[in-house]
Amino acid sequence: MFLALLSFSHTLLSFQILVLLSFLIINGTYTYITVYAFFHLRQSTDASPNLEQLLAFAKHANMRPISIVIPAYNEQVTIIDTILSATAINYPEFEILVVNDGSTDETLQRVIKHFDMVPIARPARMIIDTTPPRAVFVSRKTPNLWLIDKANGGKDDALNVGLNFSRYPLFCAIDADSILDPDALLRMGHQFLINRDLVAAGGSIRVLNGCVLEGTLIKRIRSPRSILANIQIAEYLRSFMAGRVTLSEHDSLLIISGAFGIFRKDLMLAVKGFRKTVGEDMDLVLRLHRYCVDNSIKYKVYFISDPVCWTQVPSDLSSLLRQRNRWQRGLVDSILHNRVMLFNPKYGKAGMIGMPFFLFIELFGPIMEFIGYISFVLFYFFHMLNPIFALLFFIISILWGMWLNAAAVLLDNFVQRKYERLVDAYKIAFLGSLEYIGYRQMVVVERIVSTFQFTRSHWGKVNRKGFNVEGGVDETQS
Amino acid sequence: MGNLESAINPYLVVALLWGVIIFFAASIASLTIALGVHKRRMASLDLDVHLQMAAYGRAITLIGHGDAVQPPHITDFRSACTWGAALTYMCHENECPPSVALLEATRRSRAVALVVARLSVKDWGERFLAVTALGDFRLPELFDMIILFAQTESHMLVFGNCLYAAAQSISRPDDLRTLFDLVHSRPDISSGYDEGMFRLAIQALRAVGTTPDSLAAALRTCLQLPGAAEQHLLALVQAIGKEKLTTFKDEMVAIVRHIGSARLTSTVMRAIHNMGLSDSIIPENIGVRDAMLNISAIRSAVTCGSDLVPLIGNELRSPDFNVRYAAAITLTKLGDRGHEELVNRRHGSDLYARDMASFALTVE
Repeated sequence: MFLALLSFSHTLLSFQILVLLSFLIINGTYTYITVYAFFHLRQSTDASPNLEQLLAFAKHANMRPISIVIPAYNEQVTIIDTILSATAINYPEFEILVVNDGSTDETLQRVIKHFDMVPIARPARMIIDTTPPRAVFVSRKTPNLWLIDKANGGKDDALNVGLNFSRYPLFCAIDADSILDPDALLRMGHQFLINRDLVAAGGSIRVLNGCVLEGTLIKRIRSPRSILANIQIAEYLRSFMAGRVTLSEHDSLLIISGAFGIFRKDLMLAVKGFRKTVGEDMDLVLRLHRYCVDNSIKYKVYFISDPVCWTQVPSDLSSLLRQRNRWQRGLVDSILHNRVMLFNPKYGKAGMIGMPFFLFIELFGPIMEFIGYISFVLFYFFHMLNPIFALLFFIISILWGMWLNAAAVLLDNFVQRKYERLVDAYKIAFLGSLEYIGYRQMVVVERIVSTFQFTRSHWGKVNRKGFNVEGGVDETQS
Repeated sequence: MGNLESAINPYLVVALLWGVIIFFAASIASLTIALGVHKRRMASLDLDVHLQMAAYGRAITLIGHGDAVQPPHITDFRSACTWGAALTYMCHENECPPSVALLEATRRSRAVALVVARLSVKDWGERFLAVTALGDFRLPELFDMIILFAQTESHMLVFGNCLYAAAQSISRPDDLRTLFDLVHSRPDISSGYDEGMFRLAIQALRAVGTTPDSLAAALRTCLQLPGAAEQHLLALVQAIGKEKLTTFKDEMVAIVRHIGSARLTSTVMRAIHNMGLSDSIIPENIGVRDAMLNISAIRSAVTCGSDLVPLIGNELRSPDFNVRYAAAITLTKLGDRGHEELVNRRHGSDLYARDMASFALTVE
């Protein structure tokens, strides 16, 4: 009896140490990432070419033309503004391919009407197998704008159709609920111009909620009123300004957001485009890493912090949870599909740093966090919890999270100073910290559930609002 | 029982935890204050730069008109950079290089010394800014220094900016070869970027009155450089075409015929097209087996007139989609004869030609 109790006691102690260690490793990793990004961004902020230089490059250098593909499924609320923002882009040569993925709403009709589109027999080499296109339209107002109508086949399928139809050597995918900064492509194109080894690059994704628009241009950048949106802004800042900057600098960037990324088309065709998965963006980057290494191609995958794409984040909890569910499923599926890279020195830092980071911190992190919450409850019921210790530990975890938030907002302030008003920066830092009171736990549970649903390819509905909601347009869709 | 704090010293654990809490609380407070301070500082800096730009703009106008002899008041690195930015802005606005008086004013200020001092700092962001400023000054005597610095610079973005700075400061035709050698030293830089830098350099040389003959001599040495990487030659040929150095066309064709590279030949044809000229090298390459060469020749044929229409029309039957597409698009640009050819092909027997001609006529 005594030995059993002793053994149980030892097991419990080991368990506590395991939970504590995982807490320290996960938070320590994020702290390292933030501190590293801080020192890196301090230098690179000054090193962005100014607009005069970029325009000189655009005018004189041979900037590679870009095919912008916008997959749209039931995006009637935002699609026109997204296309308008894309047509207003400052770049020497580009085409816009809107792929209507069998929308059941008025997406197709609205685009045809607004841009005065006419059917055209544009042939395409169907290098990648996709759902066959039903019709192709070209705009009489904007000659570089094309619309491809097809039956519903999923985002990956729509992107692959865009890839088949694209004419230019660079492929840019943007979401149909996003707005590109006018100079975003110029900044991204500059990186492809100067570095011939660059095969893929991602830009910053910022939260559009709360911003005031004039047409498709962002007039005033403000933090939203909703706590949920502010929490997500803090998350995006942590993820992009800290996470992706540091991973990119460690040659371990394994994800380029589907909302805004540019890829070399020849390599995308070589890896057969997007795979049927809900995490098609991460999966593509992983397969590009693999393809380049397997074929001894010298390559780079970068995150570039100053080109910005603005996107709407879910403004209601159910949409948010569906989104996080999808992200987690995509993460699990991508890691499983590309598991050969894990701890494989052949794949360099991507295999030795990037893959373990995504597996242990991003994928297992929520599981360990969940175990931590459960163990707190269990220890409490078994009277094995010292209340003072528990309280202090809880305070530390909240403070550490707050520190990460404050540091991410400060980082953002160093890089771009997008939020002009100090009150907005403070609001994001402090409201973002409220994630520890309920939000985080809900997301953790959703992510655990979705981890075991990774075989599902269901996308999930997201409720959308018009971009300029504060300006009056407010149309919600599912 | 098996609690962690009971396994160690409970007082020590609690004290440690309090220590950590205090550390985080203090750290968050400092970050919050730093955020406010930084925001205010940057806002004030932005305002300073804005005011300084306006002041330098006025100074540039006065110096440009010969109304001022005093060099601009430049006290630190940032104001030196702002002076450079103001000069570049003025150049872009007026589409001309800075006058001799402005160059002299820059020389007499402390700008160059302040900027050069930053070339050796560890922070690559600062080096980037310094190189940008050196390019903005457009002082010919800085060209050699920029080249020397670039040869030791490892950071890609800074190196790229060195090329930009060198291209803006170039004043002697022979320096084109130095720039070409510098580009040649970095195989990882893309040819599209090289092309831009060669174009800027050619423009800068023309702006200082370089004669076409001396420019041609400099270009000749670059194109005939033994062992030169093809990608850089391609960039140079493209730049020659886009800058419309028409007097160099025949010589360029002769050099390329001698080298015999398909890619270079293809680029030369595009360069001739960009010049708005024609040459026998274009029809010679229509219908060749090499698809890339064929496509380039077809596309470049737009400037050769409608005599090549039947030749291009035949390419609508090519088994290669890209060749057919290029032929169709070119025919749409060749006026009535091109249109007539497309109409005929649409009713012809060849399926490929029929489809592509129909497509081209729809686009047209």
